[in-house]
Amino acid sequence: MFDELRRYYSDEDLAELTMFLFFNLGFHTFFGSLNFYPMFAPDGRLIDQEESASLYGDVPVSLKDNPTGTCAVGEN
Amino acid sequence: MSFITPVPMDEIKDRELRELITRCDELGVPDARFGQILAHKPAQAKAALGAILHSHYEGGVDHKLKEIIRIQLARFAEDEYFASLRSRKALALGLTEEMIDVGCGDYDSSPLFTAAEQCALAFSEQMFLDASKVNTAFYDEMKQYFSEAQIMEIGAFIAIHFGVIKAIKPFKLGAVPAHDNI
Repeated sequence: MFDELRRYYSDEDLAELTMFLFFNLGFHTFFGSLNFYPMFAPDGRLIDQEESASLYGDVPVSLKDNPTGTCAVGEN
Repeated sequence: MSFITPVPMDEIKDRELRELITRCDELGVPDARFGQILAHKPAQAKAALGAILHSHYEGGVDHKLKEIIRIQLARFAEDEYFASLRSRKALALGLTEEMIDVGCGDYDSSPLFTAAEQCALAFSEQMFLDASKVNTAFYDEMKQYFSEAQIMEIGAFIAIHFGVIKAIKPFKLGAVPAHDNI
């Protein structure tokens, strides 16, 4: 695998990619277990976790995909 | 032999990075060679080594417990390098190979560990083997023994070392002789 990687990346690049993986591999797993919700409602209000859970449900809504900021309570 | 050559110490110009690598060598985990490999990218290496050292050697959770968790993760990942390293601080605090072996095995029925320590070891075990089991019920049990600050400290420690061990394993750094850990 490293022989193939070396065709495209220098030692500097490989060190950088490896350090990027250090933090992303583990924190995705840990944060995924914490079951936390976005701190902001689609309209930009700072909200607590209880309200956020009722707004976003199991599938958080991207503000990019929902530019009007409309998200019905319990929609998800 | 690592797939990436460690940067010789005399070629590392960044003083802060040299000091971090020297500290690694003194503490035992990780060793200097690890830092010298990361040194190909000095700015990122300083941040990574700083996080690794801080998560392991600072905080309010017993260092021996964190060292057992780290070795448990390395053994799960079958990474010879991190599994063979030993924190000199943990050894000085009384950590033994028996405690490590039990902590990586039947810790949940061993008098060597308190209920709190057994819960922390189950935390790292399940984070590695099946994170879906680290659920609300599991965190409720953790909260019987640990504050939220301590749970975050243990969780972040597991996250960092889980990632470090899995990402560095393909480099095949190899086991460090036991006498180098003393």
